[in-house]
Amino acid sequence: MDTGQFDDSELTRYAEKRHLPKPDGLAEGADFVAENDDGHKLLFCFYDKEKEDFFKRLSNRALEEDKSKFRTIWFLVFLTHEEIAKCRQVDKADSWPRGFFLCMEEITEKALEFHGDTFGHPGTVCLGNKGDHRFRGKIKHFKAEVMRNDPVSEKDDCEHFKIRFKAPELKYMVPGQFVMLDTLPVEKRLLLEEAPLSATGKPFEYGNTFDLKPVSFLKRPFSIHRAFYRYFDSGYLRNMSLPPTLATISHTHFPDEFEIFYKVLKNGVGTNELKAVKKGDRIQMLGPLGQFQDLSKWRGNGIEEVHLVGGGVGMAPLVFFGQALKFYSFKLKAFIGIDRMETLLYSAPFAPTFAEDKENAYVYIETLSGIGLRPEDIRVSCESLNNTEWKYGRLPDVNYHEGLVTEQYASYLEGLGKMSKILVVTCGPQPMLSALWRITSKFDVPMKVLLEKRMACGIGVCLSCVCRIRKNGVRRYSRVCTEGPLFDAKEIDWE
Amino acid sequence: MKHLPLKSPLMTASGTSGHSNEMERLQNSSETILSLGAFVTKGITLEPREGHPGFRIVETRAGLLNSIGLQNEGVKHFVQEELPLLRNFDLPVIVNISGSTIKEFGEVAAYLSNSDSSEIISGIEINVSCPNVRQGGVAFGTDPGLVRRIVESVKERVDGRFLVITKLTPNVTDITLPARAAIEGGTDVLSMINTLRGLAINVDTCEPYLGNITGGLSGPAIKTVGLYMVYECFRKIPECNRREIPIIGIGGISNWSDALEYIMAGATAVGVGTAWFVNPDIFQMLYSGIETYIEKDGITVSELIGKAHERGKFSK
Repeated sequence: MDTGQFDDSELTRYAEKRHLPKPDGLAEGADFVAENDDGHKLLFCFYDKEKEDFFKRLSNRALEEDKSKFRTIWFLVFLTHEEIAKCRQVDKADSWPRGFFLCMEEITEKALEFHGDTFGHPGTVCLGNKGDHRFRGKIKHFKAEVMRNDPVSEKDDCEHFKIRFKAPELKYMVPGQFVMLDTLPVEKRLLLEEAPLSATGKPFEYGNTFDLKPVSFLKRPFSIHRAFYRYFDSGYLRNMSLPPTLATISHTHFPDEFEIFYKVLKNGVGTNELKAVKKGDRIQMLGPLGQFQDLSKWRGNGIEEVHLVGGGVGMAPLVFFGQALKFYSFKLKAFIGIDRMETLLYSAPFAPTFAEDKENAYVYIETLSGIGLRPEDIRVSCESLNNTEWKYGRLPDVNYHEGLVTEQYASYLEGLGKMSKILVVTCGPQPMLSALWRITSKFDVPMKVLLEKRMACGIGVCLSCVCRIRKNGVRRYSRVCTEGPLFDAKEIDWE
Repeated sequence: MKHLPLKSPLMTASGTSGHSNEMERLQNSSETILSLGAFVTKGITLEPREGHPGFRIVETRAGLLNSIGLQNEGVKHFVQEELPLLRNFDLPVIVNISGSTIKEFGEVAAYLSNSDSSEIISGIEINVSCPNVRQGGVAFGTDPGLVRRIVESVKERVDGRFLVITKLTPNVTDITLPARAAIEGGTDVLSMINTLRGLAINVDTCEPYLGNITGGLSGPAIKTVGLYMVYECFRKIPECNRREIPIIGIGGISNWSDALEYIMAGATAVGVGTAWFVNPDIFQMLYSGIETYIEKDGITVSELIGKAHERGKFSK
């Protein structure tokens, strides 16, 4: 139907069907953001009739900013060519000065050229089944190559390790999801397996055999600590005539490498095996597991600021949350509770850029800084404060607290004026979670809890990893691996 | 198998493959389904059961100790919500049932056979042995008289519509006694073994690991036990020996040679459970392993059934 008139109502219906994330009316409320090191930004908004006024303000602002600093460029994203064409017909382009129109269809096509059948970032809207993660998000069983596996400290008794591996299979993985991994590398399993399988002269790729010292048997569930994003090499945006200051920006793309932060337990069969994994080993992996979380939707619920509250090694997965939430331009604050200061004090020589003194950087702090948190947004609690080690601190003294992270967070909330638009995401030991639940429910702050449980299968068949849930007044056991692991704190039965 | 032709001797083992199509979330699920001869569901009871509190599993040396407590939504929910989804598998579906009284077993069986979706079901596996539910479990499976009465009551309610399989517990002195009782009760097929009762204690806390204290042991650790019991039944029970009552061998199978051992001991088909947790592609591997073996020797799987009993007659 081409009447020459722009049919807004039709476009709105089209948009609704796809559940577009809705910006909150603020100028910052872009649907997704790409940023370069100099702070230049590209902000993308999906076109939506309801946002008409908002777009007008945006375009004015874009004009102003372009005049002064040239730091921001706004894109208005349409789903199809027809939509852009309709917009052009009614001269919408004129009320969108210095901004760009983009078409999701084109972006998808371009991306498919570069990245085959795997395009579609969670949270963006793509066409039909083509780019929708839900149609490609099947659980994969694959081998991941280990890039490195190092202790975070050079001390002999270091319990905390980081393992980084290459797994493009997990590119749709979002925070709140996890993987199950075999703690023995494939090659070691093969050695164990060769003898009994020699009958056919053809050993299988994977199997299990056991000797008398404890050998792990099941896969172990791990949350992701950090994802390493790749960028378009010759992406769509490069072909557009962007101002020179923005030329270094490319469209943020999928992660293909991931890092797991883990603590080796003294009698832990699995974690001790994992510790021994070397660079170049391949490990068998199952993922992504757990519920898909559309983080961009949180903004639609009026959330602007997210507080990450982590207890010990429970902070690790929250860093991944931080990365993704930053991507959707949420404000972030981190509260880290650790048991011994030294456990997280030093970092290995590969420490990222934040610390000038790389040997002595706080592991969590540097990764949080790496994703854009300022030192004043990070607070640390430690139960037994060892003063000699505080001198390495990179944070203002006010950000340290001797005691529990829950105490620190409670006093922070008390000092805070208005508490709307805040969401708490937490992970840690059970007592900490319960204490935090009491605090957030007192202040009426919504909270999401990332649960970690012992698992056998990870795909919801063995019913091992259950937690008590209270929904619609009914108490029952719910599977952490498939209904979770991220739960609304209100749903959890805390008694 | 008698009454129920299988395209593959491989089956899922009850309790390890879900109530429904959970498996389809896996990328390789279609290959897995192609490798299977039948799909056996997790245990269903008359009323919903919420399962045991606390830790439900612990990994032991070469084994997995579990105490789930038969968590399920009840037979009504199963028939309405879960069973229809199994249609996509295009496999014979065997529903595992449990109960705390003899009457309950019969009622579950009756509910299944009277349901609208009953045509999806090919068989019922009676769990007389799940050791975790206090009211029943071991008490049924270890008492041959009770085993016979349960099988009779299910058999009567099913009225020939489904194959009736009895899954035996290994927690007995002589496996042939409950096996014979099940045959007297009219079972069509025997399956063995369920988990062995076990315990694991955490020395740091001085407490048992599991919320339910004891649990059922599965995994490679129990393979030799299961194998022996299949061998015993095949040797001592004439109906099994004549292959009138086929045996499904279950317990600790983790590679193709384990599966063949069970078949050579007398099993017609095998069930694989815990190994599937470890390796979601296990069924494809078992299938191709067995295929390679039989093609090499130019024999069929059915020729191998009970081959281990012909000691001396058969030399390769």
